[in-house]
Amino acid sequence: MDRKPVIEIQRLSFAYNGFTVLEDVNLTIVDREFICVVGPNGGGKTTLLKLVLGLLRPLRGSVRVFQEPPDNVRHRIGYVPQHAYIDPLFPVTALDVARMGRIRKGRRLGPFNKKDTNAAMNALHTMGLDAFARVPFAALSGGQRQRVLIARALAGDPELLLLDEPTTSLDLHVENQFYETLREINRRLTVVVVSHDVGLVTPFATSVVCVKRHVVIHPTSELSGDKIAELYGTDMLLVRHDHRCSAGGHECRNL
Amino acid sequence: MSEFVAALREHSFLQYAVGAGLLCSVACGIVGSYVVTRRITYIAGSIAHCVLGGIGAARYVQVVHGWQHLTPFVGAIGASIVSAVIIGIVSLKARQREDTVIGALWAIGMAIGVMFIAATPGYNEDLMSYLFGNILMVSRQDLITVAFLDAVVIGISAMLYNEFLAICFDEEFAQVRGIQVAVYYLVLLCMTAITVVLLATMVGVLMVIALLTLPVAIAGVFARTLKAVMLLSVVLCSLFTTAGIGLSYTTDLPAGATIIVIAGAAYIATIAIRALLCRSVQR
Repeated sequence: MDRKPVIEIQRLSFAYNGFTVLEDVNLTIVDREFICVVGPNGGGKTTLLKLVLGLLRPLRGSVRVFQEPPDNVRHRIGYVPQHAYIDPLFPVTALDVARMGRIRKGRRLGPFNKKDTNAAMNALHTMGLDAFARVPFAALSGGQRQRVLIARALAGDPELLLLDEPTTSLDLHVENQFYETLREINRRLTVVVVSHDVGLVTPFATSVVCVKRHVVIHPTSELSGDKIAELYGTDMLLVRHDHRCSAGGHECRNL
Repeated sequence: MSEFVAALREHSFLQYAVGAGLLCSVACGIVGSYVVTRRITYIAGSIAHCVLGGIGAARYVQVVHGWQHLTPFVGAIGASIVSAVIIGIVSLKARQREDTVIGALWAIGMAIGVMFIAATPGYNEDLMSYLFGNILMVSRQDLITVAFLDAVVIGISAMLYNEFLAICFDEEFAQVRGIQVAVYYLVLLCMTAITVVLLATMVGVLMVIALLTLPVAIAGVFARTLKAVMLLSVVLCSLFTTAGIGLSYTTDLPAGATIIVIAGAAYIATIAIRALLCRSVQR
């Protein structure tokens, strides 16, 4: 099937203060893919996301999103940051947070309109949070907060969803459910998720992108324990816990 | 208390003082909520102390060079805006050393003010009122100025409420949504600067920070949305300033300090009651 490219990265390099983080990255992600980005801490996963968002500029090479520079199309990207740095006691309701996703460049300043509220409510509905719209963010559980942040990203009707370590604070059961929801969302838009948990995501992903200074993309069907060991270094002990999900995994792989 | 109410009917200077307190409380509650949630209390403190530099410079020029229109209030507004922009740019650029640079600007602004005031010939009793406030000196003209600046702060906040909310909650996300985060940040600091000057007329530059943050800290215990925090802060701030002026009139203590002590006591009481309630719930 010939699908439109969503993200195209060519010969990209990036360095923080002279320290090379990413080198000679070539990557193409097409419409409706479900990409899992894995790699060791400090390997450049978050940096890669920020380059795609245009929050960072490449040292060399180019990033194109929807065949344009990221700055021009940022409003078409839904972004779910690591929620560790968000103040959990901030006085807002779930609906307030979801509606933040309706903000965009060139919006008429002033209060949100009915359409904005409806879009935010729909996004909360997608994440199974209808009943929590008026609940303070501070009163939600870690998993619910994370879902609110995804609803915020969805409220802006994105065509590409980028998630940075969305499951860090979730327990395993909730985490599985979470990826099921992401798969539902994936029917409508392209999903790129950074995760530390290769085993759990791969059944859902169409491809796994390994980031460790260099970037390699593997279709999930090719991914083996060896590849992962190679990526994380030989000392890495891989615990496989994805057997239960393998039926669903096969379905995804042939997308 | 009845003594104060009777005096309030009689003396216009008390009416102006209470009026100024109520008007300032509006800006205080709104901007204070942003300052606390965006965690820039330290930056607001630095702006407040730099204001003294503007007051001193304006007083000097007014007395020595006879520029009658350059009142200390005008100097304060000018210095607050200039220092807000400088501090804002510094904090955006010097991420690593932000606290060092802002701490230094804090003292430098104040030092400039002290030097100018010392160099100004004549009776310099005024210095104390700039440092600790003198709400009983408010004139009718001041009241109009305060109302105008209030309107500016309310107007900007109402128009940019959602954008400010998004930035205070999660700056990076706001940036991804295409908001010029740096521009909004500077606008927020300028609003803070104006509010700081308004409050400084009441409680002086040294105690501004307490009045900006204490009502919000109390409101934060009860309110669940930023709008509610703002409303409650405005109400609390109005109560504190009015009660402070009343108490200072009857006890003949300085109004600024009295206001701050009342606000502080209310905050401590709130925290203590909450702690007790939480404990009894756990049992």
